[in-house]
Amino acid sequence: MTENINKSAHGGVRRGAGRKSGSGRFGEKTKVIRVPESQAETIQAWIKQGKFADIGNFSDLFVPANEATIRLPLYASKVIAGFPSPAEDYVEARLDLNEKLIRNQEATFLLKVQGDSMRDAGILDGDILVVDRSVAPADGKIVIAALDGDLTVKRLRIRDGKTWLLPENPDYPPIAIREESDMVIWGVVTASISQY
Amino acid sequence: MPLYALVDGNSFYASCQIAFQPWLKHRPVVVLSNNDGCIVAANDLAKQLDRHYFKQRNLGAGGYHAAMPNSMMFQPYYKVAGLLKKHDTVVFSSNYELYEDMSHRMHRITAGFAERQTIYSIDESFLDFGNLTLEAAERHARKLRQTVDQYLGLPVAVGLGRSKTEAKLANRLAKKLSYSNGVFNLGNLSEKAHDALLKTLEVGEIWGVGKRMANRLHEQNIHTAYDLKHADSKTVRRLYSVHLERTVQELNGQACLPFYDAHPYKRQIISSRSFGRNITDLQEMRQAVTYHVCKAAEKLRRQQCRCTSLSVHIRTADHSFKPTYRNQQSIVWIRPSDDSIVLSRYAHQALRAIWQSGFDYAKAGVVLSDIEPWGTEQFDLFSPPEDLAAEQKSTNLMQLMDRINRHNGQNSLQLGSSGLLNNSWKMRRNLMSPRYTTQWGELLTVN
Repeated sequence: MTENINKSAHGGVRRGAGRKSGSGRFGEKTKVIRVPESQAETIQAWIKQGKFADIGNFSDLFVPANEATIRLPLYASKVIAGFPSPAEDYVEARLDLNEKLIRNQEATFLLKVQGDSMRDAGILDGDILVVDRSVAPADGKIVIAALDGDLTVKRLRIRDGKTWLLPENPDYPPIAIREESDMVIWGVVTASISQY
Repeated sequence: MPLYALVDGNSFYASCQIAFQPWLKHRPVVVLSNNDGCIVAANDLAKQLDRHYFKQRNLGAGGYHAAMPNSMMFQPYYKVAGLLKKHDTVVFSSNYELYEDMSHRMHRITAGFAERQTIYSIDESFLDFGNLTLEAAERHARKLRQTVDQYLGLPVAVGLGRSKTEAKLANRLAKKLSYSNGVFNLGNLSEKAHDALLKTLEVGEIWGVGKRMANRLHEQNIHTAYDLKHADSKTVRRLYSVHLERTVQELNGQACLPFYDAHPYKRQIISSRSFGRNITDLQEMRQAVTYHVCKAAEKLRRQQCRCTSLSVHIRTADHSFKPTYRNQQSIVWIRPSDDSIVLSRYAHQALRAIWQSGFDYAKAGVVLSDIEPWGTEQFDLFSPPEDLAAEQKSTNLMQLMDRINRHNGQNSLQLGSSGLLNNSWKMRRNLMSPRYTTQWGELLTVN
């Protein structure tokens, strides 16, 4: 808080205004920190529990820290010496592909494509599929199905009480799922990664 | 009132295999221990085979303490291989990489269902359901079960109880009683119903009652969980232990054990294994010992501890036609260490003391003990500052090594004395499935 008394009668900082530092529910000064967005809820919930003294047991608590390194900017706002960078105020966490590709880390598996039955959907031989098992399979989604001792990637079609697994390549026939066939939807494909 | 849930994977290793090859659930599936030695997991179909064919037979003592002569579980694979083959059983070597990853996922998913979790083993964790009503707890448990099944394809059972011991027992019932559909609550039964169920459970099935303890209890005419529940706790304490007295109280619905284990770090770390083939050469034995000491040291650092003693053991196979030998040597030192290089120097010293040439060695191992957490050790008043500097250097080196191995896969960086690539004595895993979740080259393929 600044000690300057504002000369203007309108607005600005007034001494002694606002809540006293340390008078909040934490009983001490608080501080604004930057946290990864995906973790914000968990951290808030943890703060709500108010178990700060419980750090000893912290490793047992559920902390869904991303296994993959989350890169944070080295400097939050301090510049020690030299010319301050004009971009300083815009530093943010770097882009992390996991964040873009993986919504539910525990339920996500990576699979490798063999063959070209899904070519026209842009899924090519050798591609890596991101499969999220927490997503409910529905008409129109690209799914991994376990069918007669094989795993296959196809588009799921549910129409008039009938289920089909559709390839996206005219060279392959659609597969009609009969009631007696043993078919399980293993997961829903949420992304495909092609490397060149 | 406290309410605990114990979540436990059904036939965990076998289920992990089936999760990646779902059609296998229509066939008997078993998983073998290290070196494809004994049967350590079996799915339901394999268990049915077991009950059907081995009930009347005598398979002998088996490879583990838990083995029974009339079940294939924990028996050497070769004894039952013929029968399993005849019944079209799928057999896997242990794929620890896969099981570890699936375990980690499962624990994290279940942790999301409670405010507190404590992980008990690779496939078991306790959850604190104390903030839920009994009915809500049961619904919650079913939801948890369904979620793990959807996300991972793993079946789990949930036991609910007013104490951890009761929750463990409830978990057994959840698996045993088909009408439970995988969730059983011992916490909301009438006294009469509670007693009736406990009469169906052997005393040896109770958490913390081992085989030996069960035999001692039989002598006192305590045969079932019901008998122990109604035993006089003071007498139990006098005849057996405070620990068992607590078990009696826990069976009566009083939570005595703390939710979090009082010993969050292991007091002893063992790395030991049978070789894929016999070792006769000291040089190779040194490699094996280095390998084990490094593995143990990494675990030691992971739990942020140091140790001041280790022992090395070596032994031949139990031949009837060749000379046998087994021995072990301990080394104790003053300055606590977690440095792989330091520890392997001690281990080699121990090995030199017991090594005898002329034997076919089948197994070796290293045990670290006298373990203390970082920062609790007494500093040596007279140690020169160079020592502290050296210690800092060692800490940095080990941190770097652990980080590289975590990132680039186990054993990317290791000590030269572990023989690097030349270690054909390592574990035999001829029937291993791909490591679907931890190796880029072994992903599950779809067409």
